[in-house]
Amino acid sequence: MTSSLFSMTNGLRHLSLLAAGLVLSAAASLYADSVIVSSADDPYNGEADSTQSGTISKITRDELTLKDKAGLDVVIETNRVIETHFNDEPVNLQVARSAIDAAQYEDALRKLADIPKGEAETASEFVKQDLDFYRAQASGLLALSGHPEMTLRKAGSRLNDFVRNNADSWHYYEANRLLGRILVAMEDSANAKSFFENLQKAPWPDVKVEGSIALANLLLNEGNVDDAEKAYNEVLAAADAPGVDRQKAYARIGLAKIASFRKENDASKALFQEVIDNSDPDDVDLQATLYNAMGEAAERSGDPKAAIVAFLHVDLLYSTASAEHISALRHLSKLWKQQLRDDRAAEALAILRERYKINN
Amino acid sequence: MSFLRRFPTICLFLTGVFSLVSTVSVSAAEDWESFYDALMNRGYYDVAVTYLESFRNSPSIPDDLATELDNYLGETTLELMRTSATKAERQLYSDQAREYLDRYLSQNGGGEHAYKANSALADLYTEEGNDEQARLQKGLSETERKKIEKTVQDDYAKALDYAKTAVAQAKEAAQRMKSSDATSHSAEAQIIYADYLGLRIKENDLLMKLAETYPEGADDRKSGLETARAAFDALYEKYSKYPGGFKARLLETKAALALGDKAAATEYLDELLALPMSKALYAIKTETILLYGQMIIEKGEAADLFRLMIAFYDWKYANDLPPVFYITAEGLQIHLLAGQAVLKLDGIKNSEPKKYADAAKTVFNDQKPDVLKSVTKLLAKPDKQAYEWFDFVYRQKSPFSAEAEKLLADPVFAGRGNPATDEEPTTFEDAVERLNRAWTNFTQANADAGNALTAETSAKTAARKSETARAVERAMRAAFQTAGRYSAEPGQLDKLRLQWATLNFMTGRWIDAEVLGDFLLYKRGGSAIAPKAAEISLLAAKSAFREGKKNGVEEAELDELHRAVQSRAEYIVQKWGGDLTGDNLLPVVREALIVQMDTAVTAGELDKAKEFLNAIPESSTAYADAAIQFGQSLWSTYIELLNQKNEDPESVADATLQEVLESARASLEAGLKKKLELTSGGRGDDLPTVNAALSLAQIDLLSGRAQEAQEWLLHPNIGPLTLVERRFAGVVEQAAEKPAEEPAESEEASAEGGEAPAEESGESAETESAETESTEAAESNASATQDLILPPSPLSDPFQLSALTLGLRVLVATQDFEHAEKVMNCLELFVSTGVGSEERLTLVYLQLGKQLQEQIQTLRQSGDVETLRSITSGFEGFLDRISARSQGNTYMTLRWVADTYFNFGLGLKPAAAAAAPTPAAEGEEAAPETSTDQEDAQNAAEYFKKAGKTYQTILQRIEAEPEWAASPNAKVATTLRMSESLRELGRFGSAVKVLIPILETNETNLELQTGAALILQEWGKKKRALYPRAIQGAVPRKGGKNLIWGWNRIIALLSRNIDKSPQFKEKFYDAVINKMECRNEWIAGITDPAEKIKQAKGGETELLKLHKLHPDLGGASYKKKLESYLKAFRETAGEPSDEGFPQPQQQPQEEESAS
Repeated sequence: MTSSLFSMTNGLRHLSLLAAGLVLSAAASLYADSVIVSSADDPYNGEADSTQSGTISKITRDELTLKDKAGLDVVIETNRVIETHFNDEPVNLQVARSAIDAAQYEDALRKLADIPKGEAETASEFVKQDLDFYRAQASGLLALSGHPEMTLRKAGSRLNDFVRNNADSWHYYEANRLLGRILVAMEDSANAKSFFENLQKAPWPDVKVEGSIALANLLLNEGNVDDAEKAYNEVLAAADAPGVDRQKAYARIGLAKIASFRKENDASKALFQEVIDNSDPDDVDLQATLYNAMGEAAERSGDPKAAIVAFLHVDLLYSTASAEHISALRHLSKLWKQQLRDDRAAEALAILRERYKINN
Repeated sequence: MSFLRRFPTICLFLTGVFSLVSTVSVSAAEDWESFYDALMNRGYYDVAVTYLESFRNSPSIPDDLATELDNYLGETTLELMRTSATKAERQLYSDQAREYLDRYLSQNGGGEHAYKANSALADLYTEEGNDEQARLQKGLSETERKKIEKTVQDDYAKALDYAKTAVAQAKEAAQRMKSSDATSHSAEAQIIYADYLGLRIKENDLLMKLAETYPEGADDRKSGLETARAAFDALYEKYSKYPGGFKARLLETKAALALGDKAAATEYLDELLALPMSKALYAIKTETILLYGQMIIEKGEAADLFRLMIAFYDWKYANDLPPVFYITAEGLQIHLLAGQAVLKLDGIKNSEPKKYADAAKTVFNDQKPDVLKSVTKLLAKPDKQAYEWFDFVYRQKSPFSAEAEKLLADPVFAGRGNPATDEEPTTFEDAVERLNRAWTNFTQANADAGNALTAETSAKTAARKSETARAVERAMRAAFQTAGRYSAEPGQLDKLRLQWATLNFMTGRWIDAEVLGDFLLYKRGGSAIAPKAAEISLLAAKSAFREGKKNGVEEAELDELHRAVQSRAEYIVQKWGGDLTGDNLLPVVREALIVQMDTAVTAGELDKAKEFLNAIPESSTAYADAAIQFGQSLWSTYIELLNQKNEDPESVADATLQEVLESARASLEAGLKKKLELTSGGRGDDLPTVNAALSLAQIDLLSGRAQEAQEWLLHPNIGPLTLVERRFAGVVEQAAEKPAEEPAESEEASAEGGEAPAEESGESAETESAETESTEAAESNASATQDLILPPSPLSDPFQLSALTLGLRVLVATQDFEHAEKVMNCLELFVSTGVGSEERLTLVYLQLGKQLQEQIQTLRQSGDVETLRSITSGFEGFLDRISARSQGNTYMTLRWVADTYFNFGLGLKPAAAAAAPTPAAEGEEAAPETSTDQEDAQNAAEYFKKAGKTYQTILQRIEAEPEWAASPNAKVATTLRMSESLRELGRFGSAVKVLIPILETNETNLELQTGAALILQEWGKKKRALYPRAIQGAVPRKGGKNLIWGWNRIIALLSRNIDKSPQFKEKFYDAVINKMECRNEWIAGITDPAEKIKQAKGGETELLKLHKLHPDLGGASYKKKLESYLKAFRETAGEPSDEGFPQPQQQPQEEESAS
């Protein structure tokens, strides 16, 4: 489960942000603060739609208030905000944001660490919030990618600090979402639950539903199949709203897994196929989750070849979803060995070793 | 069959079909094409078949795949057949592919992609024909032969029929496209046109193949070949600008050769060899080189062989062809031909030197110097090169391995070892023997990998290591299999297990090494090999623990890994350790103790670690080794911690680092002293001891004990530097006696392929050895030293390099400059003989420079003038001696010497006057200088003069021998430094003059422009009129633009890039400060009060504008400086104010709009 804003069409978004960043770097000194806002019609496409300039006067977890050049207050819902740029922010903060967009988390952390202490300390509260968030976010994403030196514990601690101290940041939900994922990776369902519950408290239907899906996934992980099924079905029954469809796809994946656990293989396959037929093939996170779930279901049903085909989808097409990719490679190395293809098992292990520095 | 032959077909097929289907609207969401494409690219053809088959009878099959499914399956299965190892598999996949394609054609016979299916069927029958033809090479009865020949003919004939059908269908498709303006230039049309050309080539290639199945002289053969040749010629004429046209030309060449027209074939091949090695032509060039090689190798004319080597070099080394090209049938054969060619050339060189020289002269005459140099290098060691290429082919386990093995049996390779054969071993002993051979190769590769000094050699040796490791594994498996079959003794199997455990350990597979080692440790505890197995298990567990710690694994897992190490170590000590006092303490016990210490150190328990060491009585022999090993372990830990601290300064406390370093030092020193006592002063062949001396010297230097470091390095018996210098004794003198610049005796030189230029030897150009020219033209001065052979040494190359570099640093620190120079000579000689890299040497020099600079700065700060002078003058003597050497100086040495002089000058130059600007007022006197300042200024001037002179020497040498310089940028960089030296000497006019010619060709070089503006600025102090020039530029050229830009233009350029990097930003503000300095100084000289005020106000406005555009003003430090200029301008304008730049919130909106 990941943020809708941060997960989709990363490449395009990165390009558009770079372009926006270039404009901003020239404009930042002439105008005051800027906010890159996604399209109001479709706030989930993740592409920069417009840049609004002025002075950011107030930020809460749900809304951001910008005083524009005419002196009028413009209130922007934070689920539409892609990025903010503050007049007094260090250049390295801009660079770090771009680095995170390009999945260069180590670079982002380096850039943030390079900001002189004095400059960071004298920055405005909003800038400090940004600095803290991006540091925590880069750490979290780095840890989830399996980086050997950034442990989940360390990243989790940074994110936890951020959530605790910045309840009114516009990054609040994203931080909760990421912290929840990290806790899931640490198999700490009890704590993860509270952060996913925070998502349910958001004012937007899709984020609420996203929280429900995350909680349902936790139930499933704990083996509480019946409650998980109920929770997924509740999501499917949710009223239509932008972004909710995507969450319903996750609910179907969850239900397909449940069917597979119950050895109802045909039902499971039908649900997976429904997601394939109705989802965006470029939605990397969703597709990676889908194919890994399919692979695991195929393994359970004793069809290693179908499992290999499913996991290879993640390896070959959706490898930018790091955590899912790592999982797929681990499955593949095992499956290839079973198929007596040590050469291919070695290939999978080599990717784990070289890209993720994982030796087992 | 050949990858190259099918490569174009694959490309055309894939490109064609994928592009066509991609235009069709996809209703289903699954991105099947991308997935299929990715599977094919990775060579997972079997998975692709499974995937495609999963769509059969599936309601979710994508619409665009539904009609093409069998076509895709046919082509994919064909690929599967091509990559199958066994005949049975090939037959199986061939039948399946045929079934798919036939079914497709029966359902889509007239479809727009039918030509592709027919083309695939043509390929299928061609492959089958090729397989049959390969059987003809084996000994057969006449009846069998005839039968097979008939099958080959039938297969090729069927393939030709399918190809003809495909051509007709592709033609129709192309015509349909061409008939409409809407489609004639579409991407789809381009693909079909390309397919059509490819199919025509394929059709005529098959015609040629078919003709060649008839006996020599048969009419069918001749007419078939002639028809094909004419068709290829027509295709080449029509498409001579396209790869397809060149492919046709290549096949025309083959047809001409088959028809006996060698003259025409030679002409065509010359054309093809001259084609550039571009990506689109890789396959054609590869086939051309093969054909050329096959044509000329038998006759072995020197000129032809040289041409082959040039083409081979271009193909193998000068371009980045995908590695797959080297392991195709064509690629492997080319390697064999190249190996034979160098050996033949060597034969000609020895038997007919004149002929060799003439041929070289003719062929290399129009080659670029770098090609000449590189090919000459290949030819310099023919047996080594040939062995390398033959061995490469042998190891690919292809049908050419046997030929390679035969070639490797040549006595010229005696002593290089014979590769193991690939046939299955017939006895267990045979299997073990093969395993041992493979093991020898692996251990050598492992040592090479450890010795690698550059990134390039490191990658190559690592690849070789894993390749040989795989060979060992294969041999190991074979040995186990034969062991089972021939009932080997259990002891023999245990030996194999031990070897396998060792292999796993050496290749970093810790778990596997532990498992095998443990088996022998716990199950065969009483056997002779148990201690060795125990050692492997222990070291593997230790490595797993270290790796886990490094990778930040969870604490619980780390604890487990730690326990695994400890339990093994405890078991070993308990089993074999006794009371630890025995003189014959087993190495594994010592290792176990060290491991216990080591893991304690890694776990941060230093005291506990020391307890383990103290458990061994100091009086025992084991103590010395254990203390040394413990010290080394601590030293490694120190380096790890230091790296960790560099990444995260808070991760390791300074005190911890210091404690580990001191403990390492103490342990090494205690161990070494004990060792020397026990061995009557130490032995040079005791490598662990020599290594420990090097580590201790490193620690001593790091701890400021240079004198002690020198003592260890120069210890008469175990001193690393002593041992390395001993190896160089005589060789350095030899190098000095045989300077590269000096021409050799002409007659002797000519007799041996010579080194004397024609003019000097007095011989005519015709009689001069061509190798003389090629060698001289190509090789740099280093060639003379490359001929020198250093005596062998048990010390590894990296160790020797470390000893020399550390030696140089220590000797400079102890001011033993005479000895330092000798070490420097050894170091450069070592690098010039191919060990290490120029980069490494540069790094050593840079470290040395930094070390000196830090030393001088510390001394200046402490006011220790005596020591400072002693060091600078002592070091000056060293530099003088280096720069005065008539030979042997490299660009890097001289640059280092010059830069050090320059830095000494800067270090001694009296500090500039007050940093903050003062209000502009003319005629202000500078503060009087003290006598020390004057003395320092004089000394600084001397250093600047020496620097300038050395830069000039460098430039003269570059002018005379451009190749002498390390990089193309050397001239520009040195010129800039020379102008800076002149500037520091106050010779501003000369400084500008030096820069002008280089600026003419490097106008946009920012460093040069900044350097030029700084000269004008400094000159302004003497000649005020030059301040505006420093700002506005100077040296006008045609059109009115200045060659020297001045600060204004530099600032304008940088302002556009200010956000691109912190460096640009820094340069931007430096330039702004310089401009403000010039402006302030200029205003000071203005006599008209009104003008003065106007100019000062202008300065203030400029700064305020800058602030508005860039409110941060580059950070606090720059802002402070600029603020002082702002205040100075205000004061000069008669409006003094303590206020600096306005606060950001004070900027009204109107001003924003105005700006």
